[in-house]
Amino acid sequence: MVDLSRLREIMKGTGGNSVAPRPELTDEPLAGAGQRASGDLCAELGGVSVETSTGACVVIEREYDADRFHGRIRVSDCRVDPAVHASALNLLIRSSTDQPVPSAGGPVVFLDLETTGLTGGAGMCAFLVGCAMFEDGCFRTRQVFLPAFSAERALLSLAAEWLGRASMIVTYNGKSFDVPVMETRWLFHRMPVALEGKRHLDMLHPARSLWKARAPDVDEEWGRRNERASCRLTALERSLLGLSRVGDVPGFEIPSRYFSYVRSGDPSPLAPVVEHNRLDLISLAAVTARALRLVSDGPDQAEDARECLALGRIYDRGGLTSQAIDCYVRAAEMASHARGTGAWDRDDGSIESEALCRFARWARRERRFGEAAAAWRRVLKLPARPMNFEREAIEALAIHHEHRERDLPLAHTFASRALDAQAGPRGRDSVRHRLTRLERKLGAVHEKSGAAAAFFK
Amino acid sequence: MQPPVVSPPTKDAALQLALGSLAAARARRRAGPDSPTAADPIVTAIERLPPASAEFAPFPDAVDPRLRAALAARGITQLYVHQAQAIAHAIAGRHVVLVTPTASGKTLCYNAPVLNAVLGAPSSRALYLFPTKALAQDQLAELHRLAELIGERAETEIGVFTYDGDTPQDARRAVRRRAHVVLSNPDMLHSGILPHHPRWAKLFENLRFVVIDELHAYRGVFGSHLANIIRRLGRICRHYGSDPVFICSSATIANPRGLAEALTGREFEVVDRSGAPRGEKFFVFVNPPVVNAQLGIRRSYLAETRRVALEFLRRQLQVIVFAQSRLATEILTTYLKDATDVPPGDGETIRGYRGGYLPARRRAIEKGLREGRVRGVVSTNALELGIDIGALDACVMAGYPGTVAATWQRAGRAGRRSGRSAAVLVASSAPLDQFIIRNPSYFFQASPEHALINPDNLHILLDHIKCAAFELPFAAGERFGSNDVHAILAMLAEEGFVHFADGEWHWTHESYPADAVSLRSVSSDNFVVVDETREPKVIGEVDFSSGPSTLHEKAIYIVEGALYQVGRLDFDGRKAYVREVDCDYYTDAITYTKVTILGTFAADSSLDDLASATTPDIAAGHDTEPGFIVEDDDRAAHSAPDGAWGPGVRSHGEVHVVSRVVGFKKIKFYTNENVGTGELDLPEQQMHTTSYWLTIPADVMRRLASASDDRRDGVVGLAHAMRNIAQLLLMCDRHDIGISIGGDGTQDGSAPASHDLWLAPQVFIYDNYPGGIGFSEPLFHMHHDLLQKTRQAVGTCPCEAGCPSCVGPVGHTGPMAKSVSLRILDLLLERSSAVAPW
Repeated sequence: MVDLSRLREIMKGTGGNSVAPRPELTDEPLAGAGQRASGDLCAELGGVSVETSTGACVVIEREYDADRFHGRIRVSDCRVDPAVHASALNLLIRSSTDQPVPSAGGPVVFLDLETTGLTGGAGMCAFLVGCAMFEDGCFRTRQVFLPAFSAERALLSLAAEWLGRASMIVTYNGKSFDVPVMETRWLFHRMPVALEGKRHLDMLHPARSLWKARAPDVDEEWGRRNERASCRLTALERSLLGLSRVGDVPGFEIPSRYFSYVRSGDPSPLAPVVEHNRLDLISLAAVTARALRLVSDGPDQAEDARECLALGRIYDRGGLTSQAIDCYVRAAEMASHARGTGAWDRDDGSIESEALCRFARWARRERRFGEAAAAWRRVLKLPARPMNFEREAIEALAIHHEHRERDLPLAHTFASRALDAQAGPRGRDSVRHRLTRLERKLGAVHEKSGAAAAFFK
Repeated sequence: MQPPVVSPPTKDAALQLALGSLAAARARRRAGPDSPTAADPIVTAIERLPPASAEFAPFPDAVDPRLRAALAARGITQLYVHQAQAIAHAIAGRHVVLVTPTASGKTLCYNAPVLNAVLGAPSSRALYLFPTKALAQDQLAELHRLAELIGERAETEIGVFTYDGDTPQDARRAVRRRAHVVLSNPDMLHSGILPHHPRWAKLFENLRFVVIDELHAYRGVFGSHLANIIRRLGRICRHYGSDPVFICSSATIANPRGLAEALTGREFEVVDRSGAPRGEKFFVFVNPPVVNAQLGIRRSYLAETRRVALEFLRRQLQVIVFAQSRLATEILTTYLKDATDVPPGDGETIRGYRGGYLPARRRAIEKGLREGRVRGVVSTNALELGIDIGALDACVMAGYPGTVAATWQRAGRAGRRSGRSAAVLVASSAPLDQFIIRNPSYFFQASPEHALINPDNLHILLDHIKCAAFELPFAAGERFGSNDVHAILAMLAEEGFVHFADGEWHWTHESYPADAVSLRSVSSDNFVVVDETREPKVIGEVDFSSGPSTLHEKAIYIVEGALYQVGRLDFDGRKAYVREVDCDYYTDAITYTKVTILGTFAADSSLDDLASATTPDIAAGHDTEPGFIVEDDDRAAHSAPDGAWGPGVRSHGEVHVVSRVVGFKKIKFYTNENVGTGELDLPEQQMHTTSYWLTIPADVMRRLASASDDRRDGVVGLAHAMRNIAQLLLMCDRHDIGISIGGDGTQDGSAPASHDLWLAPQVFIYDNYPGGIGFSEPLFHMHHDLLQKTRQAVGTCPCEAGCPSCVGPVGHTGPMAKSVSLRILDLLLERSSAVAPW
């Protein structure tokens, strides 16, 4: 009933530019065309077929002995144990921690998906759900693969079973991707959402703050700058764990590999995808363990100023003020030391400024005005400092000299500098206000001293 | 500066004075030397629409007492009859379409059943669709107050939220969780809700009502898209086990039931007798006087509109002026700003308003109107729909809005429930306007027009099948609307979009198909206008098909009276770079169009077929299913090589249209003098679309007994007149259809050269959208009416030998155009009435 050649043109985007349509024959698609026997699939992926009440899926399990090394890190050091790490985990979870991580209960489960796209929405699904946890003294990955779209309920119920047992889950960018995708799929099939209310540590955010400088923003797979890809797990794994993957599947290829399997039935391009997912899980565990050790052991473990500063922020958010201040002081020291050795760049300037400003704010709150002022003065002496910290320091010093030191000429000098540093009109207005007041006060002082001088003459 | 406050009785008196002055102008001119004749009066009609009192009906029994109490608290103790009927239908689970005028309390007709359902079962959900974001925002406040009142009584919270492109990301989750009623628009439903339906599972599982407000807005392309979106919505509701009741409200159109049924695929009850009270209204028809009787040239209707609008403005009455195009809007804004003494620094009293202005500017204008700071607004149809701008005193329409429905809708923007108001229609010299203005009874007695859609336009259908496949796998043998979509899915499989396995078609592509579809056009392309006078900034946008004609190099682009000249059109980058200029002219593009027939769906191959080919429904004026489905057999039966359909008079089928903007004219403001031309070299635009065409049989041409040039002029004149009558009959915008002669000729009517074509010339009236949007087949069925009304329009035109109002200006179409085209029409009508006396 529909003219097929017209359709073809429309689809190829030549819809308007054509000559008269020619009717053409088309083929009937065959159900499950060319699908190989599932035995092949299991062999290719190294898994077994698992029957559920709603169909069969391929489950791939691997165990990694505790004394193996993943890059520089020993597998046993990747262990995340809620009983040991409860307070550190709570510090890393960004949201308010009314509901602390249970220190007993199920295992911590690492979760990572491979999907048929990145767009979200009902037309995208996870064809590989990767879970990992420490069990029986070793690191165990458990992946479930979708052999056909019709088996999705089976995949989802297996995933629900594994995830349902977890005391908490750990992901990399799971807050905005993996978890919403799983929720969408369960909801699509009108199944219960197994992750509802589950504690969730998304390592992307702490990792960005701790290690952004080590995982360059340039997305090497795409060869261009990609904001979303900044601080990618693979980049982190290279710098943090000293690991580089050989023959890894580029992420952008993954959906098309799955589609090609769906059409041809040939699973061989998918074996590397399953391996890629496994490596992601191990690296995620390693990165998480590294962050936990930092948080547990404090600034002594920090390797550089950025790590130290980020650690301070994490403590600050968790209300551990004195640890935070320690970190800020150490971060400033480390950065200034780096400055001394010449291994210093603009980024360090920003770290040192922030560390000093955060310290100064705390000192002011504690009414240690002298220390606060000293820190702000140090900010202004830095060779490279971001505008916002410079502005903060200048304004704080103007206030300090007006109200604490009562050095009005110096306060005036800082206020004038503040006027130049202000970007917005509102900020400038408040600075102008201060300047006018200072000028009035200064005038009064001059008059007084003038009057005094006249008297003594 | 605060505007002077004018109290209602004073307002009524001021309005009376303004109307008196309009009538007096007529008397004065009669006395003058250049006096219009009795046959051509300036004011052709003053219709007084008496005030109407309210007709009430009791609340249907099914209405929850708590809802009734809450309504009473809002001052609603009884219902108008139409409200009671609509509410009863909806509560009983019958789909209902409500056809009532502006300000008749239609929102209660859907709010009441929805809130009633929530009271009965708190899990109940409803989805409201408005054609624009602004309308949804507008409705939110009222619904919110009512929902709060009821919530207090029922000790529950009834969530009412808008969900559109402006909803912040972090608020969206809350809306999904807490909204009982979601107010949205088709675009958001299409790209933000349906593709993410699992996140909306709660809504779709419990969806009791879908409200479609301003139903008449969904005709043509937009309607064709919406019908497909509703098909997708239906699939998703079935997936979640719900079957919502549709409540639609529409302005007066001929086929509210037909449109509602075509849009939703469901059967409807119609409620069309309003019980709401109305204030007294005067409807005045003004025809600008003829200034050159020989050439049939009238005083510019824009100048006449300016005069009429000033009669109201100078009496402190708040006025809305509707113009037909963006260009006319800008010109009139300029005229009125010039004419009113605006104190410096208070430039806000006269504003322009149209699509393409940025939202913040529009909101400011709407607010200014409500608060009375803006005394006059000149708008395109953008303000025709129910955006709250308060009750204005007078509405002046510069040119006939094109449809009876739109005219009443626009007139409704002046005057609400009580007090006197006026609506003035100022005719342009366009044939449609002249037909209406000279036949006031046609307008005041006419049944309004049909709203037509074609949900099965292949381009549109294909886009939505992709979206539907993304949302839910298609089952083998599943239908989409009335379509068996197997062939389309098989094709999509070839292209890698879907894959068939285990009895289902699954989406197998990384893209998000909804993003590639724009509902307001067939293709989602548009041009943005970048002002480079100072810091480059975007000042507007223009849809793809009108890009070349409005944004070509040296074109004058106007925003709220400010003139910009296009310096460079980056066709591939879809950007036009403009700079502010100060000049006294605007530009009008010259477009060359060529039409080739690809296939004929139906034609009268012999005269005997004429009667049987007419759909009885249409002949009888009943609702009909708009649009059509292309059947292969049907096509085979009627296909014929070019020129082989013998004495055929009317046909419709598929055509290929090539158009190119070849130049432009510079036209001086106020005088409309042509002050220069320019040539342009722009890429061709091509499309496949559907068309109706008239073939004038060779024996008719032979019987004309005129010189060949005159015969040609007659056909050109006929085409000129037919286009406008077609527009009248189809309820479409001028831009929705295109015209071409003999498959060769320019759009403004200059003729093709080849002589052979004139043996049996063809006049094409085609759908100006790729794939067609359903105008051609109805036009084919209205063929006889089309010819007869064209005959009436040309025959009653007072000009001597042609004017822009009938067959085109003499200088353009030749001295004999009018008489020859009348002769052709007489011969054609004689033939058809001899065979089929409809």
